[in-house]
Amino acid sequence: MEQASWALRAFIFVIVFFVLWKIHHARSGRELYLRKIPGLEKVDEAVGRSTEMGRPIMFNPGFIGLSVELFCCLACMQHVVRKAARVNTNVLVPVVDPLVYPITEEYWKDAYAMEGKAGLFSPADSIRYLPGGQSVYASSTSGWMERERVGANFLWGAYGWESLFLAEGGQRAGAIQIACIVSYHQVPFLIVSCDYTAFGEEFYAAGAYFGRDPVLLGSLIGQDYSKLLMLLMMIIGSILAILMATEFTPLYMILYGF
Amino acid sequence: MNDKKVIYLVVAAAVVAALIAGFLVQWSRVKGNPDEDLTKRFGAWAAAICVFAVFSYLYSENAFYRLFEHALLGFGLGMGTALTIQEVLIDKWWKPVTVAVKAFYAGTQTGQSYYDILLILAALFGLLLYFQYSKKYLWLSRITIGITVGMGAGLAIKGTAVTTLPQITSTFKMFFVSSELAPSLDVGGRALYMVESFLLLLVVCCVLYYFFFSFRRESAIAKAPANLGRFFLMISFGAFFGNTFMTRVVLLIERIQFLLHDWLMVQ
Repeated sequence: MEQASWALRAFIFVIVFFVLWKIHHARSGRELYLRKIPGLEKVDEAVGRSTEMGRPIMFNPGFIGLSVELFCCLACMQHVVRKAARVNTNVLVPVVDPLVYPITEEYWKDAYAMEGKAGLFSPADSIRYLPGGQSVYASSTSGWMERERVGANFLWGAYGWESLFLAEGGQRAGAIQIACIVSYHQVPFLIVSCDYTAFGEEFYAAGAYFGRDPVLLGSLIGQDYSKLLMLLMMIIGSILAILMATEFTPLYMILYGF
Repeated sequence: MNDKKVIYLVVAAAVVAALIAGFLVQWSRVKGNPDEDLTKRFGAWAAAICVFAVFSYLYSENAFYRLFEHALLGFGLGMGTALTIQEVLIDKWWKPVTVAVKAFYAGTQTGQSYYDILLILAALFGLLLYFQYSKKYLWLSRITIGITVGMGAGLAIKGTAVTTLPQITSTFKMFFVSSELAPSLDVGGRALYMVESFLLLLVVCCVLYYFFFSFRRESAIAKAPANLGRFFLMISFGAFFGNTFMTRVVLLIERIQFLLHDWLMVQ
């Protein structure tokens, strides 16, 4: 079985320390700074525009199974649904995984209940289970988007080739589109077809960005410190690579003798 | 029934009649061919109709597209259910568990039997998920969800630690390469290597800097690496775009070839 080296174990220990340290800071009530993420700032605008047009909102979690990404996505979905609940707007959610369906339904119902709008819309009509692969998901969701004429389309999660299909469906429905995805290969397609796009680490930051939960916030900031450590290691490592290159370089001579 | 509906019905009937006539004409021509049979011809025509049904979405969302969309959803669900029952529940659970139980009962168990009997526990954990539909016992389903998500997170951390973190050491490049270090490279080769090494480190550091969320970027010096990182990201996205676009054009070409060669039998 493959085992981590001592250096890797130490590195992971340092990352875990940073995360736990910052979670402790967040829980102790300290004000922690998060920069603005442009794509995520427009969620309110999208919900408002959809409500003005009298159309529902669609929140696409993409091809996510039962994983860490799912819970980041559901935290964001709950934020959007709560905003929509305040203005009595329906949020449609297509789901591809049978395990994800009941969890999504629970988050969706809880979001409406938190705003005192439990029972306003039926989850059976708003959350659809679309199994059978990417083709089924893409064709069914695009058709649903156009028939319902959604006013805002959130593409949030992991996507394959169906990302562009869905974005085009949203364009044809006349929806304002915000994408926040983890799949790097699909980012260029969503940049050209969506109004606002966030990607990569911003997907994981979105959960902390909206909810400001101390654990999520502390984890995000702890990860920033880990990234800073990696950056410093790369710079110092490159400098050392030059200084230690051969037995003729000064540092090598100093350390190992002439 | 209004005029528009009558026109739609007439057009739909004409299209169906044309398709049936086309199929019969084609079948009458290829009947004697030993490489062709009715199932193959029918399959090609059905596939071609599906292709046109999906392509009709390019014009507008319509009833023809909707019919095939719902059919695909139904087929996908049916196939998925049948495959799950046959290939997972029967082949990977029921058969190993029954063999293991019989082995224990007969006293002929092997090492594998001890692993297979634990599958009963796996089924119990799976059944706990159905408590999602009970308000009183919802907490039982969270045990399985917690195990699944925890396992996924653990495997993801392992994958990241083993594959992504070693990339940090791969960025330890030398900006200065002498002829002693690289005797096989000439002056131009060494210069190119140095430029590539510097560019690699610059791009990685700037992109990493772009994804800092908790450090303030108020001054121009603080913003510059982030802007540079975004610029480099856009260049890479352009490369992904071009590459993926080429792949999708190849898929379109494949479908057109199917329509011409397999459906219309154009040589």
